[in-house]
Amino acid sequence: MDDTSIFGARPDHLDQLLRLALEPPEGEHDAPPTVSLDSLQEKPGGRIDKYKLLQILGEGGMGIVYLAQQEEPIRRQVALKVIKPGMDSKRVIARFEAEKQALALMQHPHIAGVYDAGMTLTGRPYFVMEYVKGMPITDYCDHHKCTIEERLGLFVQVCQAVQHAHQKGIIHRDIKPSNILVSLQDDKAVPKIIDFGVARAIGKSLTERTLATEDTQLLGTPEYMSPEQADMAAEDVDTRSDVYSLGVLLYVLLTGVLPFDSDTLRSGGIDHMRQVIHETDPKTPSTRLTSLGDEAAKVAGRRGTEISTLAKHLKNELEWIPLKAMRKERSERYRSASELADDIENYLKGEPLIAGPPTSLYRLKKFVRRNALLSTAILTVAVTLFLGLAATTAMYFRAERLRVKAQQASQQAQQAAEKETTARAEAERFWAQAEAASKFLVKDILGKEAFVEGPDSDPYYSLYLVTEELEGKFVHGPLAESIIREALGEKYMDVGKPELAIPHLERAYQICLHTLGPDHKRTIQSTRPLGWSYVALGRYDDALRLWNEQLEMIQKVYGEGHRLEVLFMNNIGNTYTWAGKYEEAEEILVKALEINERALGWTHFFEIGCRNLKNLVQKYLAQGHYDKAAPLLQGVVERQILRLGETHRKTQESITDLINLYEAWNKPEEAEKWRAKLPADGTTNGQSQNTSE
Amino acid sequence: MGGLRQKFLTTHWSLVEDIKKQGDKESALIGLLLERYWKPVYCYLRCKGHDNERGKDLTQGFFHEVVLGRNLIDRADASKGSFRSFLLHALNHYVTDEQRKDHACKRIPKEKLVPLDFVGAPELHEVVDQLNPEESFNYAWKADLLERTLSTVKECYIKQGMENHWNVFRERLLQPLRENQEPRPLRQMCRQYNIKDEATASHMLETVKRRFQSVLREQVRHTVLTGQVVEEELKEILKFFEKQSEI
Repeated sequence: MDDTSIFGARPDHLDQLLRLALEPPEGEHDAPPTVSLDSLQEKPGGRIDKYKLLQILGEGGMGIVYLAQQEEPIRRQVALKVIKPGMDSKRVIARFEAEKQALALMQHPHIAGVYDAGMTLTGRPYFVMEYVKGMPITDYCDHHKCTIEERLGLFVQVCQAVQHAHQKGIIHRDIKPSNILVSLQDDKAVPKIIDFGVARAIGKSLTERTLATEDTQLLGTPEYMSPEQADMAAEDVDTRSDVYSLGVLLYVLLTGVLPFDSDTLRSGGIDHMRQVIHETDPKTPSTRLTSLGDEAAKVAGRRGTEISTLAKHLKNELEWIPLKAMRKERSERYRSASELADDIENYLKGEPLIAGPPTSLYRLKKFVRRNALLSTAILTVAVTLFLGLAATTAMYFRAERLRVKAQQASQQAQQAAEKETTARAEAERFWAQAEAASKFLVKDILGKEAFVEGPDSDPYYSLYLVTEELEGKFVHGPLAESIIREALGEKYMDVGKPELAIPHLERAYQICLHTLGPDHKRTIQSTRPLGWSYVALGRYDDALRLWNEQLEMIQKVYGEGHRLEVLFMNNIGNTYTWAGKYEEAEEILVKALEINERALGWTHFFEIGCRNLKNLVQKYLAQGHYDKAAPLLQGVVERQILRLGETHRKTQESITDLINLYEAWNKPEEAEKWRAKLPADGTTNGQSQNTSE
Repeated sequence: MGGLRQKFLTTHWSLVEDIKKQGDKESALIGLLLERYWKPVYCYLRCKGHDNERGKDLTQGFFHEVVLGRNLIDRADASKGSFRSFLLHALNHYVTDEQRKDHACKRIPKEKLVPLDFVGAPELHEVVDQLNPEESFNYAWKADLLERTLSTVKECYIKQGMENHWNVFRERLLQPLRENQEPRPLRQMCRQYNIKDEATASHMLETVKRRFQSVLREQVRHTVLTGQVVEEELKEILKFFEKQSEI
């Protein structure tokens, strides 16, 4: 490829190249090559005012930090920060100045103090800070094999320093190990925060890869960055953002690893990074530790302990602290750095923590967020349970009222009492099932770590896990299992996986069959989704066999003309159409229609009637019998107009079907006639005009 | 099209003005106009769903019939908005017309074909695939502008025998952007190109960056009527890109 070719690069990369042309012009256009502003930059050995520059401690995009020697009034080593030549834009200088002022306000034993400030000869501002000859806090702790308690002790001091800054109105925004140096003073480890807020002024931290996009002002280090900071809504970042970063720091101090792996976090660009920070919950430190394998032993060793002791430490409430500090929702974090410090003290003293295990509500919210499919399935179960409970309870009260009434007429009393006993038994049985189902949902599903912490990628994973959980849980409450399996099965059908639905639906049916008997309405109803799942897989014969059995049962037990009979005949007719058995389809659909009109009447079962007719229409259409289909469909439309009104969505749908039919039949005049009934703008009315339906 | 894009690129009005003044449609200037715009037009058509062959035919036809044959230049009026919108409007019009006739450029005699460098037709990279036709037009225009700039910069350093300057710039800045990869460490480059130390390499990079900056500004200056609007023009280009990357 030609090495000047750029076609194919990402649009934002082209943008970056173009941006070069916008950077402030440095000198005249054709400045002689190889002479750069770098020559203006001070070199070790040189001086800035009274400070002799000894070596470069760190260098970033806009600033540079030197180790310098101060001669007067006292002789000491200091850290001197200065803006790089060419980076001294008004904006950078203004921020640099503001932060310098802020730093001067702070006086805390754990914050590196500012001694002096000034201008270089070329007019660039600099300031002089206490030089902390120390190691980053995590390195220090590992190097000295600090125990958990020692680590917590250091961390508390860091929190107090951050709190001090917050009280002065300063947010650090870049708390991370390399900005907290620990040195030994009189054999005592003393942590000091450096770079306090300076990251804001000079753009990048000097010792670690701090992410700063050129114009978008994403400042901070992704691994330690709170969700709101990653959003770059800078004005919205408050002290709780530092609390978040402190949480990450604590996490690292405890486990030796970051909550989110650096490589993964940085692999997909800023948007991916932002998404992880926003949406991925960190694993609990103990889980993260155990997932480390061999490395875990080393981590424990660096804390002067064994894996098992370390894990016990963590599990024993300690790990709740970093997790609370790192909540995505900042209102759920510690309110301040000092509250975080207090909670560490609580832990060290064995007092109750402010942080607790995630609350049920928190887990529930998280559960719903992560398991969308399963959550809707559970809602279905809950609704089924609720309706069942409502119905059986109502039955019980009705029976009791009857009994009270019947007491006045003694001959009916015996009968009423029996009825009441049956209703009570039914209600109690249902309560027991409901309890079993709720217990399963709450304890086994919601309480299960895998649902809250498992892989995010597979939306069916949670359904699969429920399936695993179900086995053997409902020996004493099988009906609850059938409800749950039915919900699962329907969920699998919703997502187009009939082959996975069938085992659940078959099991649900079998449970009802054995517990309630073949003639129970629930048993019969449970064959409906099962039959449809057969149909979805083209197993028409299985569906027909199953539904014909039910139809026979319905006719025997409930007599002719029952709603269920029409429903099942409809299903059977439809399946015949799917299977291409048009004669059988017509026979049963016409019969269903007759029963519907005769026994049920349109007023009561309007919906089923329309569906019934439409099924028949579909069957004729499949055969190309427009002459038979047209009057039937027209009949549906007319009934719908009468009952629902012309503008109802369903009526309009049927009219559209009718127009299509006439067009396919090559009867344009008829089609036009009906087209006139459709609104020009396509608006329909979802509400029935007749609310009595 | 939003206000932003309307404003985008008054580009090449200067060229058009010059062509008008000279009144010679076969002049080198019109050649330049073809050279600058055929790739964007081709990408635009590809993103509109025309396949490679059809895209080339339509591009040919458009430049042959509309740009050369129908006095597009004469009808162009700088006061009426961006040249780009004007060109795209004419292009859309032409394509609709052609679709109606559906015999595109089969009737253009071979000897009359517009000399467009289809051999170098850009392969539609997946990046372009994800853009809408107008974005791809702009993308191609921008890539072309950058490529011209880069060629000039490279040539300048090669001529002066300062190849290493170009090498450092290419490997440190250009390749990472193009290939979407991490830049090579300066130390490695120093070893490979026998450069004294990293600080020197870093100076070299800065130098080429400045040269690039000045050539790019020069290129943009050529495309607008007055030198003063270079800054504005560049800002418009960048604003446009920011908008686009949010999509």
